[in-house]
Order: sequence, then C-alpha cells, then structure tokens
Amino acid sequence: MKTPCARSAALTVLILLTGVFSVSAQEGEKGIEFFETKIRPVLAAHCYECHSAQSDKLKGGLKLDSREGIRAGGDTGPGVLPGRSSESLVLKALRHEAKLEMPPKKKLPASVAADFEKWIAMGAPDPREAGASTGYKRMTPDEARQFWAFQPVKATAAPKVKNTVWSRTEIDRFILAGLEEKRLVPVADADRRTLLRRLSFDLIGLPPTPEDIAAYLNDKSTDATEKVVDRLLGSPHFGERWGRHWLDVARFAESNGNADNTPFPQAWRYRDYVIASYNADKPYDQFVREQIAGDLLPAGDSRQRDEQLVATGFLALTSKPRAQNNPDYLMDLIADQVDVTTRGVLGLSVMCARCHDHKFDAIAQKEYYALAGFFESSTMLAGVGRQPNNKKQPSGAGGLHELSDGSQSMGVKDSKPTDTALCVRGESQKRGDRVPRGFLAVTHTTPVPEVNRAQSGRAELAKWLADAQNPLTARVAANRVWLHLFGRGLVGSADNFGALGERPTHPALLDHLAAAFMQQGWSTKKLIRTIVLSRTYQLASTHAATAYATDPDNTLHWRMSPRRLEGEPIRDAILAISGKLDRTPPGKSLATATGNNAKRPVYAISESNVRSIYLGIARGAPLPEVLALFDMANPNIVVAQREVTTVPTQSLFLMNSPWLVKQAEAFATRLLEEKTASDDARVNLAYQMTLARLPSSAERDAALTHLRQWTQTPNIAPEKAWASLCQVLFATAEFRYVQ
Amino acid sequence: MITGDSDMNPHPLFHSRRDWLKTSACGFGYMALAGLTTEAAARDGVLNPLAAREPHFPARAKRVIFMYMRGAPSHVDTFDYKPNLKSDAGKSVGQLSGQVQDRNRGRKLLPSPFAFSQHGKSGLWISELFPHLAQHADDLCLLNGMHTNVPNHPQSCLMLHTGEFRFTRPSLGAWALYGLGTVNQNLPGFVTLNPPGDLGGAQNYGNAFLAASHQATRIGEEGGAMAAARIGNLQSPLTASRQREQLDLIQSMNAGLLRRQEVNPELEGVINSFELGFRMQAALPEVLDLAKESPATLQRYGIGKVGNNNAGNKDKAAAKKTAAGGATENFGRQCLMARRLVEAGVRYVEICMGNWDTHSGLKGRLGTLCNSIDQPMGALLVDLKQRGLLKDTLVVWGGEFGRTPTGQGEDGRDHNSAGFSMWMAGGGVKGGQRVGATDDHGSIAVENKMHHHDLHATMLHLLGLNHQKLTYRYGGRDYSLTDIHGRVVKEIFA
Repeated sequence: MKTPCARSAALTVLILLTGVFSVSAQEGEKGIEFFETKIRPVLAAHCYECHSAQSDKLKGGLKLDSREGIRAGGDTGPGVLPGRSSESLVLKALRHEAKLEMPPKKKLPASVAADFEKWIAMGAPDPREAGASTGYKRMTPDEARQFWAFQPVKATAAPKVKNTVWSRTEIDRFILAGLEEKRLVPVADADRRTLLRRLSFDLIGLPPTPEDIAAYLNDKSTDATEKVVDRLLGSPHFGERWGRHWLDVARFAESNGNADNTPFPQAWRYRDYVIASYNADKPYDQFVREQIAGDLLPAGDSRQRDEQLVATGFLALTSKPRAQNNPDYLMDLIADQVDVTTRGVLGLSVMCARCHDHKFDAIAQKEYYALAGFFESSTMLAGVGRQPNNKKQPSGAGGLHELSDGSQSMGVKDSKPTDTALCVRGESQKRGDRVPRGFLAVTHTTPVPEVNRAQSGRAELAKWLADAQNPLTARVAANRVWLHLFGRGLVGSADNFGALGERPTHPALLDHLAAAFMQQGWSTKKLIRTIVLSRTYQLASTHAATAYATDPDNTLHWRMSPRRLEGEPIRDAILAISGKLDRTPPGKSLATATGNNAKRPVYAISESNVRSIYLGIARGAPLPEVLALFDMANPNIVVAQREVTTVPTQSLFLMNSPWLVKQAEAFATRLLEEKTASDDARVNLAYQMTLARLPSSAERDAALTHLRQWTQTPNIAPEKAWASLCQVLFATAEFRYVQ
Repeated sequence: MITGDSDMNPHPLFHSRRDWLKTSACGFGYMALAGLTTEAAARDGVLNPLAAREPHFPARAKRVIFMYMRGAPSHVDTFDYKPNLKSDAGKSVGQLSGQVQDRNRGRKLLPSPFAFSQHGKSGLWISELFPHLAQHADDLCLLNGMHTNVPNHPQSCLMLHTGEFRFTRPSLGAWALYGLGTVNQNLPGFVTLNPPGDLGGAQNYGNAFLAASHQATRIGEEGGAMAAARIGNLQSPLTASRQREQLDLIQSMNAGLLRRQEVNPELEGVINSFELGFRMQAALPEVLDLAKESPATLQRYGIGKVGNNNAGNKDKAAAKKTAAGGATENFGRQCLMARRLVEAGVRYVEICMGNWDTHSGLKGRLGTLCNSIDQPMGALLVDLKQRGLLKDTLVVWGGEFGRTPTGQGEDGRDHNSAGFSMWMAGGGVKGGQRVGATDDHGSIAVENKMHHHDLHATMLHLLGLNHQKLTYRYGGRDYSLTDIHGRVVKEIFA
C-alpha cells in the first residue's frame, strides 16, 4: 500500500478552522477577500458553465469550481501554480497566449487578467471546497466543537443514587446511577481469594503466592485491601506489567521489519525506560513530553538528559519502508510519527488527512502537514550503532544518540527547521503550499503554544499534547487504565475517540477520572489505586440473568467481566509457578540477528526465563510462541486494545507443547519437594498456586484419581503423574482467566 | 429443515447444552459421552454448535473456496476487457463524480499492456495473463459490475470479509459456519491459509459476537512460505488414551467453571476448542500432507519438492526447478491444500495472494502475480471437476476493489472501488457468462451493479441461506451479515 488511508473523495483544502495557522492567518484573510471580490465572480460568470462539477459537459477535464480543481487543472496541465503567474495556464488562457483562448468567444478585459496575475502571485488563496462526496458525512467544524471528545474535561460531582449505602467511592456512584437507570443491581462482592488473584494479575501480571493469599486472608484490619494494593503498586513488577500496555501503543519492536529488516540493537533501552517510568510513577504528562521532545527539554543532570534522549526512541521505533525508488520515503516515515503521536496520545486517527481532509473528523489535510513539519524538522536516529563484536554495519542506517556513559540510543534530534509542503492527494511529488507548523484545532488549548521556529517545534508539540487543557490526552489515558482493569474502556474504541469511534458509556465518570488524574499530578498509580479500591472493581464475576439479558456486554458494570489474560501474564505465571521465572531484568536485547546479510538477518529469539516483556521482539520474525498464540499486539501498528481469540491451536499448545510439559514437570518437582506433605496437601497447594483457591472435595478426588490412574500403570513415575496434573491445571480455562 | 428466524437462533442450543452441563452428574467425563470423539454424537447438535445443519432451502453450494487477492487487482488488465482504453489512450476519463473523479483527475487513460482474447464456447474475453485459467472460461462467471464504498485497503478488506469496516463483525466464513455447521468434526470448519496480518488482521476471519468456535483456524501468514507454515504442537507426547484421560480432567474443570458461571459463551468456545484440538492432532496432518499427492498432481499445481514424496529421478529434477523459488509454489500449495480441505469436509477455506497494489510497475508486477496464481487455479478447477466437487463447491476470486483505468505515472494504476471485477465458478453458478459491466473504460460499474453486500447475499443464497434470515441476536439486536443491504444476484445462477 502506498498510503495508509483513503486517497479519494473531496480534496477539500479549505482553511476550516480559523486560528489554526496563526502565522499566516491575517495575510490569508486578505487574500481570501481578494479572491471573493475579484476572482470568484469572474470564474462563476465566465467559466463554470464548462468547467465545474455541475457542467453538463465538462471540457478538457478541467474544473475551476474548487481550489483543488483549479490547481490540478485539466488535460493540458495544472491551471494555477501558486506564486507562478507567468506559468499558470489559466492566466495564459485569459490573455489568449499559448494557443489557449478562454473564454472561447470573448477576451475578458486586461484588468481581469491583471487581477488573476496578482491573485496567483499572492499564492492563489482560495477557500473553496470540492463538492464530491463518498456518502459518509464529515463532521463540520461546528459539529466538532459540539462533539463530546473535544469538549474541555469537566469534573462533575457524582450523581445522586437511590441506594445510598452500596457505594464505596465516587466511581461507584457514577456506576450505580447508570445501573439504577436500567433498574439493574450489581452482583455481590468478590471473595478475597478472587480479588487478590485479580489484583495481582492486573497490577503486576503474576499470580499471588500461597503466602500472599494467607497474609491477605489473615489480615483482619479494615485496610487489608489497601495494603495489598500498595504492595503491588510498589513492586518492581508493576512497570513490567503496565509498561507492556504502553509498548503496544508505541509499536515497540527490536528490528525494522519491512524489506530491509535491520536490527534495532538499542531499542531495549526505550523498553527499559518505559518500565522504569511506570515503576517511578512518572507523571504521565512528563512521560509524553519526554517521548516527543526529550532531547529539547531541560535536564538537571546527565542521567536525566540520557533518560530523555532514550525516551525519544518512541518516534524512531517505526518500521521504515525501503528508501530506494520510493519518492514518498520521508513522508512515509513522518506519517508513522504523526500516527503514533496522535493515535498513541490523543486517540485520534489523523493519518487519513495525509491525502485529503479527514472523511469523518474535522481534521483538515493542512493540519496533518502542520504536524508533519515538526517531524520533517527532526532527524530520526534509528541506526545500528557501535557493535561489540565489530560486525559489518549496514550502510545508511542512520545515527544514534550518544549517551553520557558512552552508550547509544535510538531517538530523534532537531534538524533544519522547516514547514512541510502539503502533498496533493498524499503524493510527495505533487506539492502544494508549505503549511506552518501547528496543531489540531479540534483539540485546542488556550493559548495555543507559539512554535519556536528556530527549532523543530517538538517542544511546543509536546507541551500542547500534554497540556491539561487538551481535551483528549487525559481522557484517553484514563480510559486505557480503565480498559486494562475491566477489559473494556468507558470508550469502547480505546484508540479512536473521533467521529467513528464509540461514545463513552459513562461520559461523566470518564471526565471525573481524567480530571482526578490531572489533579493528582498525572499519576497513573494513584488513578489505578482509586479505581481498584472502588466497589465496582471489586465486584464478583457471577452471572445474573436479568442484568445479562439487558446488558450482555456488561457495559454498565453490574459485575466484573471475566477476562482472558494476555500471553505475557500467562507465560510469566507458568514460569513463576514452575519456579523457573528469572525475575532479573536482562538489561539488554534478547533478539539476536544472525546470518550474513546485514540488511536481512535471521532473528533468533534466545530461550530465556525472564519476564515476557524482555523477550526479543523482531518484526517479520516469529513472535515468542505463547505470546503469539494468545494474541500479542502486532508490533507494526499502534494497538490500544488487543484482540482475544479462542482457537484450537491454543489448546494444542496447552496439550502438547514441550515447553509447557517442561514447566509442568518443574512444578511437579516443587510439589514433591514438600516432603512432609500428604498428596491431599499437595493437591491443595497446586490449586492455591495456580488458581489461588482450594479444590472442592470432588475436584480433589478427581485429581487424586488421575494420579492413581497414572501411577498404577507400570512405567509411569509419580513425577510424571504429578506433572500431568500440573499441566492440567495450567491448561484449564480458569488458570488463564481472571474472574 | 430450518425455515425461519426462531430456528436459526442459537440460544436454544446453548441452553440445552448448558442444562446438560448443569445436570450431568459427578466428574463430567467426556469419554462417557463418547460424544465429541464420534461423529454421530457430534452431529446431534446438542453438544456442538458446529454440527452440520440443514440450510434454509436447498443449497447449490455446500462449501466455499475464497481466493482473496490482497491489494486490489486491476480489473481492466485481467477480466474486464476494455478495447476503448486503447482507442482513447491518453485522454482523460471524462465527467465522473466523487472518488472516481478524484482518482482519475489529471490522469490519462492507460491502455492495458496485456492482450485480451476470447476463450471457450462462451467466448469470454480474458487477458493473456491467464492461459491456464482461460481454458476453463466456460466454467467462469465473470462479475464485471462489482463496486464498494471506500477505495482504501483496510476498510474495504474488512468490508469484503465482514460486510462492515467501522465495527467488529463476524467474517463471511464464520456466518457460513454458523448457518450450516460443518460435516467433519475432526477438522476446523473454517480454515484460512496465509491471511494478511494487517488490513484488519484476524478480524477478517474472526467470529466477533458469534461463538468463538466459528472463527477460522489460521495456517501461515501472508508473506510467509506456505511450505513452512505449520500448526504447532500437533504431536502429543502421550499415548492417545493417556492424553484423553488428561484432557477429560481439563474438561471436567472447564465444565465445572461453566457451571459456576452459568453463562459464558467464551468459555464454551474454550471447551470446544480443546475437543477440536484433540481431534485435529490426527486429522489435520493427514489432510495437509501434500506428500500424499502424486508427483504429477504436484506438478500440475506448480509445486516443487514436497517433504516425503517418493518422486522418481526425473520428477525430482523437475521438482527441484520449481522448488527453487518457483513462482507457483506458494499459491499452488494453497490451492492444493484448499482442495484437500474441502474434500475432507471443511466448510469454508480462504486462501490468499498479496501485493496486487500496483500503483507502479503494473506491467511487470501484474505479469509476475498472475503467473504465480494462474496454473494453480487451473489445476484446482480441473481437480474439483474430476472429483465431482465443482458442482457444489463455490470458488470465488477477487480483491477488495479494483484499479483506475487511468495511469498513475507511466506504469501504474490507482485504487478504484467504483468498478471492479471478481469471478465465481462451480457451486451452482452458471459458467461462461459475464454479469454486470463497467462503463467504456472500466471506471465505474454501470450495469447489474454488485456491491460487496450483494456478493455476500448471493454467496449465502448459493449456500442455501437467506441473508435476511441468518441472524444472530446480540445486545438486544438481530445482526446479519448484510445488515439492511444485500441483493441476491440471481442472474449468476445456473
């Protein structure tokens, strides 16, 4: 695909939203006035009959009734070349030059031609929109201003509820109000074992140990749950769980993919930066600013400077297309940077506007290029860098940031500041006017930051993105936190808050959370803490017929939805239980590029028992097996919410994978090492370790029967029989779901 | 025979299943049921949402092979002969509206660099790019009046596969499976070979709100070699009876969880997927083992070396030639696997060929692409016919949209969703005809227009399903593949 978004439809290059392009706004207004008084009347009176969308018989393929049409021209070439009067065919025709005589039967006065000459010299300012349509309605600027997602975040008090005793927190009152409106009641609270398992997986991606369970069950204090939550939030494993959510958004991978799959041997530093940021509870606004413009932000010391340079890896981790024979190469790179920035931070798909005004959202093509300028003024540092083994370097791989300790990292740095010329229909060879660097009008902050034109302007872009007044940033972030704790965001389309996205099920709650998030210093940990201590989060996942009939998707939160774990916590939990989990961060990349072709190496994923987030992720190479089977995010695209599939290949893995059998054997060895324990006690322990609960007596009997069946057969050692039982526990649906 | 909405509602089935799970006494024990291991019990439909079911009305087609051409192949260079492109070369496309106008604006009509000629008794015009396929002209029904909404790959790929691009909806194959079930309970009912990882990815063969067991089993991924595509972990380290004991214990725990949760379609999908996985261990390697085919057959499909084949020396030499990056290798394997899968009773098979997005390099790339699919497609049609399968196997070929008749540069064509071509063969379709037409240059569909929605309605109809009655109640609304759209294009029926 040449471009990612439709390149069709009305090429409406209108200046939609006043104030967007502050630099040229005044001049623009004058030009448009000139157009309206001197140019448009002439076109309408003398040209439209044969050269407009309404013409019965269009002549020469030329339409003069839109800005795009007059510029693109017809069969003989472009009609108007802004700024180049003498070369513009429309003017030649008016003057009856070059065998062109228009209008056909009469020559218009020389003063008209002079007006056209002046107008073209001004850059041919033209506010007209083309009339074509695809049948889908685009949001008007007015509608955009009214659209929920672009309204300022407004914290409101929780609504009144009839049941005044149920709620524990503000969140609960918002939820309960929604339930009461539909005459539904929430189910009972989850028991402590269920809640602990849920919290443990949600916050650190690992199951609770039998000791954790005992401690929580025996803690009779009123703040027992708070203590558990604070312990989990303080764990270094927290960043390994929540950092992965962000890496999905950041389309993190350790090789380029595409035609030239060069390695990114330094990408792991960005991975570790993300994990450390979540562990340190770095304010989210700062986290965003560092990734967009860390190289331009002030730094107190060299450590902070290094950290900020590494952060800009966010803009460099893309899968680059091949540069050769690709005139669009630079614009393709920029498209990815615009996408990861806008969809990643704002939950808005701006990429469509690369080729035309956004079909549905009020985002003009010009605004896309206003953003593109920040990145065209920057250099992407995605090189291979110095290699310890002195291997041959692929040519043209680009540079890297130099860090204070002599190491290197991916990222971006400023290059010559420039504004990007609009690409007509997204084609880099067909350039329009340069669009001053600027921001999206739909997400205005007041005042709009003034772009530092001596730099790339990314510092201002970062400021604008992470501004408390930006209506999207906090909402999108809060919604994702909700998504990862409930399995569904308050806005179901976590990466599309635009016109085609879903509307929030609880808009006031979303704003309440977004406002609280910002008030509490953009602290992700505090936001999580607030949510998981709500009664809503702590509900059981039990079925209720009436509520299910009304709301099968549980959008109203009458219960906790059972959720399938992602591949990472499934694998990490298995390793934790088998005793094989290596909890030490490797501090390096585990993706190894081998082979003779530096541009197209073969990637080997080293077998390792580290947490899944550290496993090597090379594009175009197989992803680590468990992760791939259980719907890992595609590292080529921005993913806010993963899919959940249920397929027989997963069952085959659970039944037959040599890796899983090995883990089950290690788990069995652990159980059998409990020398003094009875088989009953071992079964209990196995259940506690995998499911955080004790077996029912029927379940215990079934387990013991299974062991007997196997050990009574000659040649099956007790270890094997126990390993089979352990594998069964790993394979159950209950193990990979949080209830 | 199923005649109306109520019968198509899957809920009674799940209720009885759930009731059974609730009432089944101690320990569960799938073995005791003999159930999911024997076809008879599996077919009774009480246990298995994939049990074969009668259609709404007598079906013309019982199974589908869908050849998806990812990237949108050019119709005016393949199956939509436009002599006017030559006579009007260099002219503009004329007055059109909307996206068609935009895409063609300022561009000149580009004649096809490929010659067309007439084939078969029917005299269908087919490009020189398909010498093998053209021999089956009298079996082909060219759909020359296709159109869809958005000239943009991700949206239209989803539209083609699910009838919707804004929301997650079940794939066409999942709907077919939902409506008809599948006859071989030891194989997945819906298989996709080498699907694209992008353009909506798994959503294109997903179940959305239908039971999870309706989604396709994927083998390989587009861009990868079909020969290397594997379903991992098919080999059990245990004997069959030991493994069954182990699985019984897993399933009894799963059933216990389902009893406690009362309603959980996802969990039912898990339970089913274990049984399917268990049976697939034996059945799938057998079906996918191309070494079971004769060297002559492999050669006809343009497949080179196959693992264990016992080809003679002469064949080996020939095989070596094609194996070394043979152009037909990848699609040949897909076509042959598709034949083996439908023969074995798989309801819906999708295969895929990518890279049709010829913005540039039209002449060279199109030649290469067509060359890599032509011989395998011809071989597939021959095999289906020889086995008596073509009459009730619907073969469908096409991409998400087509391309502009004007040139993009000297040697490329842009996206065009206003007019393009697909074709069908077998499955109750009348061959040797073309249905629908584009205008003089192939810009827009003008005659007997057929939207993606109409394609879906027509395909379901051929499968004996009424697209308006094949509904699923979800979140308080009845959903169907075609929503409020869809016209059954009866002109194509035999």
